[in-house]
Amino acid sequence: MDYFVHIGDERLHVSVKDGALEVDGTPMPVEVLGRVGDTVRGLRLSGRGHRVIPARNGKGRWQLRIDGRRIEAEVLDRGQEAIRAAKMAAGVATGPAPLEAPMPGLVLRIDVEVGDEVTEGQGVAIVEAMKMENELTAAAAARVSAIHVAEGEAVEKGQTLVEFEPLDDSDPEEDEG
Amino acid sequence: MKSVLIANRGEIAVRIIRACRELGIRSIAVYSDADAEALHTRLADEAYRLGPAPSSESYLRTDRILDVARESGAEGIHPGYGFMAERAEFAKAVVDAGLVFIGPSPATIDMMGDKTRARTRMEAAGVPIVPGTTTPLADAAEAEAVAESMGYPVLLKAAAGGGGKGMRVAEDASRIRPSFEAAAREAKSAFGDGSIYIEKYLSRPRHIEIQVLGDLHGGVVHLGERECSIQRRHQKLVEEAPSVVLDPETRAAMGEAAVRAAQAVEYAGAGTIEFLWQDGDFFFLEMNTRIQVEHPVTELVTGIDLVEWQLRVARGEALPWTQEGIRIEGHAIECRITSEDPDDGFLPSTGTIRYLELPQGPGVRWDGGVAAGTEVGLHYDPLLGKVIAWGADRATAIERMDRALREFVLVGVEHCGPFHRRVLAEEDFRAGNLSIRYLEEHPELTRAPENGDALQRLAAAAAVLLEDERRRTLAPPRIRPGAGGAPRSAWQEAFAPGASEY
Repeated sequence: MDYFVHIGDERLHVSVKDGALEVDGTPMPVEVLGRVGDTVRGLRLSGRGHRVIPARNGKGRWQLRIDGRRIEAEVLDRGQEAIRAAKMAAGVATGPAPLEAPMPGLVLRIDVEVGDEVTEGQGVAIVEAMKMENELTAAAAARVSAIHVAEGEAVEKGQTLVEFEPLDDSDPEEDEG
Repeated sequence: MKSVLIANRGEIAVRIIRACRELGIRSIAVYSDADAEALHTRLADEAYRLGPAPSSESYLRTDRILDVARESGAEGIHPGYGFMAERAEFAKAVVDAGLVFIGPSPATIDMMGDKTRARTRMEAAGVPIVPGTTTPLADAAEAEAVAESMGYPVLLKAAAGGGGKGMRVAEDASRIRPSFEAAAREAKSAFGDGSIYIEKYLSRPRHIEIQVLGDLHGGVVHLGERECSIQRRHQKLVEEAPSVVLDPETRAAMGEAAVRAAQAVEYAGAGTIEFLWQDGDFFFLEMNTRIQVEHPVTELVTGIDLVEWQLRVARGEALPWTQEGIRIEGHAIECRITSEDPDDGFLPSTGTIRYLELPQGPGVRWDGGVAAGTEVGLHYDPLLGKVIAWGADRATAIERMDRALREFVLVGVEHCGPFHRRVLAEEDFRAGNLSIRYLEEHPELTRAPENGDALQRLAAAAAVLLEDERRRTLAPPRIRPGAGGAPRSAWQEAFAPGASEY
């Protein structure tokens, strides 16, 4: 079975054959320890142990903590990878990423209105958590297309606060990077 | 005193409950609705509700705390740190209710809480203070005149201040007026008092503090120093004892100054005199009239249980040691474990602790306020607990701490454990080359490090093995959902969408 693992901008090809594993063509004698559902699992690579805390964040998406380091990996099989590649080739525009709450908290202030143009790094909202005010900023220049929360509202981690659309004169290819 | 109410929560409440138990004192916990099942409520002999989750409706309610004290028959109240610990009016209310306040007198708390009065008093007691004014400045013009005579850069500070609020650095004459006005505005809104004083700004000082212990019979000893230079936004993160930078003469001089300071305010109980140290000189910063988060490092190098002695002193016992009888042995380090994400700018993290494996083994201590199942919310400060390690020397203590942090597992909220391991491996830390600007000088420590190639490959392999295992375990259901209403198996339930596990 062939899998393609996306970590950040990297893509690694991993094949599993009769329990033997190859990463980008190089054999990797690794076994996973523990049982399905255990909070803490182990990895043993050529005798050397590592602690792994896995969390599944949706289809094929794994957040792994290995020896205290956090890694987000998406695992696609050959079919899924082909669909992904076809979509990328078709140039499906993704548009500017929405602003999400990085932690649960209370929206103290929204500094923009629908239709506003924001510049990269501009303060968009302030969310208070644990008595600390955290300013959330725009990741890129864009126009505000929707605001989903009100001042004084409690928000969950990952909740979408503000959505953006590309500026008219911006290069649509820019976000594909 | 046979019963003590602990007007606090989290790890310090647990710490005080432990000391009470060892002394045969009945411990009485209080809690807010958010803490109804918290560890401290389970470890105490008794636990009573104060009110809703916000501190202002629970842990900061003097009337409710005194009600519980009366109902439960508490004879003393231990405030811990934070919340009520340095509020003179609370200490006074406790004393007026006929109870023992476990801490110094309300007058001492009041005096040391006012930064300019404290500076005046310390100067009179012969304790070196940071050069500057001991009275609030009248206006920006006076600030300008004083700064001119003292030399730039200067620090403008709120007299009622703390936590970095109402504090501004003025690098040169052009910045003095705007800095003064900004500091005064901020102080006014934060503390209701816009009084500002001025200090010489030290470029690269260390934070070194002296632990003192006083009794009600005039006895005062100091228990050596703690170095707490590694701070983020005025929040200490790593503390150690002793400091690598003090020679025996400076150590003795700082200890004597701290004892003079404590005697000048007739200090009883455990207290800390904070100093800034730079180029061999030290200056009084402030006094904390309470037990401190970092007290365990002193306990490990002196063998003296500070919380036990807070209780004994409050009971009227005299300190049994002379200054010469206090011995410092080995080296201790504390790493504060907070629910902040060290890979993402120390953003606060919340959730339920699903799994907890505490550090163990030789020379390691865990002082914590959480257990598996504890919900970490946003109402209180993010300290979950502290790992403290002792070694015969600093290098041994560092290795031991790293080993302990490697074994420590807490799943459910992000925590700053990985940050500490980065600090422990960093060269300047290892060499003891510290200052309160340490994290500004090492910003990479507060970010996630790059994933190396080997880690990336290992992660890819692990993700595939887990995904492959999951696909094999989840055989395709024979009956499509909704088609026959067949009961779902335990496996299907376990892996139903929305299950927290993978």
